[in-house]
Amino acid sequence: MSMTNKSSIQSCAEFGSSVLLDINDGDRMTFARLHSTSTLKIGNTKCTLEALVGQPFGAVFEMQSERNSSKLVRMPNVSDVNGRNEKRQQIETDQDSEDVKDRDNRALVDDNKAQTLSSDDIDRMKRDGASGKEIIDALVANSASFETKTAFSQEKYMKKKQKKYAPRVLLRRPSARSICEAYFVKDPRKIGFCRMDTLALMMSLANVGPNSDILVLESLGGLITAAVTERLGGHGSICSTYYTTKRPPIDMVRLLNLDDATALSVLRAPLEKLVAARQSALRSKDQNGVGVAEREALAQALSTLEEPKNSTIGQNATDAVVNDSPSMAVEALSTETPVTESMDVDKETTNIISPAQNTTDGVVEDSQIKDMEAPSTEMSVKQNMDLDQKTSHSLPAEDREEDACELGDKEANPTAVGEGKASKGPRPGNEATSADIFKWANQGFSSLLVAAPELDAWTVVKQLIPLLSSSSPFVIYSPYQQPLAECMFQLQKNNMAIALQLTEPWCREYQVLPLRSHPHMQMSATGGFTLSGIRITNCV
Amino acid sequence: MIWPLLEDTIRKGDKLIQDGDLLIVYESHKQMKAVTVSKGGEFQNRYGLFAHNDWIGKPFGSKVTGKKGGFVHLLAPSPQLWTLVLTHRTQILYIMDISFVLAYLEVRPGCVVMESGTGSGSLTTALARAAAPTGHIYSFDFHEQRAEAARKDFERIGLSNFITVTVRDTQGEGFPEEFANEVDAVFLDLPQPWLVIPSVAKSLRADSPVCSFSPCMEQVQRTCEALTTTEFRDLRTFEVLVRTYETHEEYFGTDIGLDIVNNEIEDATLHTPGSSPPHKRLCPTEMKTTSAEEKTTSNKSEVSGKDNWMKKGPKKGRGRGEQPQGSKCSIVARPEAEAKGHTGYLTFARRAV
Repeated sequence: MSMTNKSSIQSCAEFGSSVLLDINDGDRMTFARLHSTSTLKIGNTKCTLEALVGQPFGAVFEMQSERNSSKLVRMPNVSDVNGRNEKRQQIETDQDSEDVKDRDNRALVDDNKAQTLSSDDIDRMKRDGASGKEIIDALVANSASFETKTAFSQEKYMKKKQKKYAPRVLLRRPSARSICEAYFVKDPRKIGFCRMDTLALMMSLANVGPNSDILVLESLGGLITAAVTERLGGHGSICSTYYTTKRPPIDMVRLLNLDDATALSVLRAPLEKLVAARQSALRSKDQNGVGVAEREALAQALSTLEEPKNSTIGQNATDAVVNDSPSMAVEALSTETPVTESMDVDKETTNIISPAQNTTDGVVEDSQIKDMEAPSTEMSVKQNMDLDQKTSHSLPAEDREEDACELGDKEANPTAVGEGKASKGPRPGNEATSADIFKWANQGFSSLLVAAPELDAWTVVKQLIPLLSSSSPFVIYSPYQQPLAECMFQLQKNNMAIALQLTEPWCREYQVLPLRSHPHMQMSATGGFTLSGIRITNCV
Repeated sequence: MIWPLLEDTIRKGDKLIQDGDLLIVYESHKQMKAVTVSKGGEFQNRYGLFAHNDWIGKPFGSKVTGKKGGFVHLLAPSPQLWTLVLTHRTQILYIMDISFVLAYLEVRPGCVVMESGTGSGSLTTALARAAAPTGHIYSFDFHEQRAEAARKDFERIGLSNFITVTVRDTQGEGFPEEFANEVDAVFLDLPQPWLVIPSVAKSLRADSPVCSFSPCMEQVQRTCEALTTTEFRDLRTFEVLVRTYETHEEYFGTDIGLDIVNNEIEDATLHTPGSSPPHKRLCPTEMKTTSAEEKTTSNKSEVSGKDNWMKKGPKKGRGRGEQPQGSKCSIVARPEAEAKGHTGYLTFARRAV
């Protein structure tokens, strides 16, 4: 058995790579792009990300401070970020000695006097250039209660101090799963409260895989498109459609490090064009198959659409953008005051992108998309963010290509203000050509995924299902159950689809430790709902 | 043939059923069957007799009528449909676990994946679909006949080019040496997965994931111990389940036999197009809420109408679409009564760099 198929998955972070930084064992997740001047800030300490370039994904770094400068230092091959391994063995040995085993907290007096080292002392140590480990050792030595603690709570104490004085950074390769997980923890509204297991289920229900043509309508900032793109790996095409006159962003796709072929497989097309082309193709098929005349008729139909006609829905969307009021995506998803407070952005970090803070933000004129040098989606997102903060100003051109997606606390700001030297491949999300639209119109799509919680599911689905080829699956995501229930009822009544299923995934994580295994005390109560089914022939 | 899979099956509109095709005969979501179409063949179910010849040339997704007048739908096979129709030789993994495993193992085209055991091939099919056309699945099972039956299944669904099934006792012997550092993901469904962990560590590339599926916490415990003492990090254990809902129209009685109408309490009104617009994009929802309100108002007048209040509450067994007086209609969703309570724990880890 020889391994002929070397997978093309990137194993090292390169200059220009998009990376996911896992700080202190999942306490904070931050996306960044590696450039010569990208920086990461943890607490009050800032250091460059240069040390990550050329390092393998999965490598662990410790932030080490020396006087005025800090740097990320690669940790030796450890099997666990926090050296849990050695500690566990230590604990097990300790447990054998009766001494540690019998300890408990009956003598604990919680008067905050156990630690004799003051914060001034620690600051002095830092100024004198003490390493994180030295500070932790000093804290332990000066703690009156440490020795009386059980082995478990000693471990907990050490872990806490380590996170503070010698934070660890795990370099991760971004994937649709990790993007979803990171957003779900920090800013679930941006991904419509879609949990990782729900996203995974959607990929199966819609039979997403290579050699397919997949239609996606989403307002989750590109999460669905990213997941589909990853699964297709450049084999097939993805059409990320939109119904607004301006394209909602799908920036999360760019968090994946896509090769050129894969990036080019992600296309965008206005829904109106897809529907018109499909109707025209189906009409000509009813006659004698697709002949030259029909092709011309279709080309004609497409060209009349080149000038975007404002349909009712499109017109409304334009208004939405113009009056820059908080979009419905946000209002519909939250009872809190939307948008302004959702943008927890430090003004200095102008390069941060926030995929789809709502559906109308970060939109780009069609004409700009064709020109790769024109202001890109990120640019618009930034401008919109600025709008939200009432400090509108345009950004220097150099910043356009950079992106870093902050999910961490306010104090952790990875900045990536590079010179854009990294070689840039094609961007995902080119506008589909007439040939693409013609192909989709004739073949039909092989899957449909809808994740637009701001739209009425049934209204969308009855228009989109005919774009599928017969026997193709579809899945609709919503954080709400009711619109999907109504949509399912309609689909049943209208005999448009079979194998209809309204599903709610459930996911629980466990702590597994010797003699201490149990479900996590906190869990996500909902990850959204999916409605799935299969198109049948008589649906159009 | 799991579809769409091969590049040469370039689609020209709806795919048409041909002699020799594998398809899924769909009666209901609980009643499906895999059938290979053959000229002159027949299919019999409680709806009657169906001639394969009537199917050939029709597009997948067609509704076909049997000799007794009953009908079925003919669907193109997909891994998720296959999971529902395959022959069970062992316990199998279902869609939720499969989806989670694929996502967490980050299986994508080009991946080399190892799996033990093969079992009934439910997960194997999904893995192959995800890793094709450039990747490969190496599946190991210690049961000779089971392995052979799985090979036949993979042949039948057109995935044999992407799956190699080998008879091997991985718990005793580990995975073959030649896989060292070559594998992108490993899946274990074994009674004693901890025995294989050292061999998994050798096979996986740096930073690549492994998943172990075990029904019992004791197994998980030992697996995690083995993972932490080998070169693994990022240990996480999950349990995933699904709840499915059925939906229908339900009439809720509004007439409780009182002629005194409480006019003090007004129904809270939903946003209407005229009132301060939340947003113009709300168009579809607005339309919905409008009609809902119309319904409410019409119901209100109905209820307060003098001659209605004496009428009986919602009647059962009325004609279709006929709303009983003194009621309002809603579409409701209710969880299906029976659900899986547990399948297994999924433990993931990544090989340390």
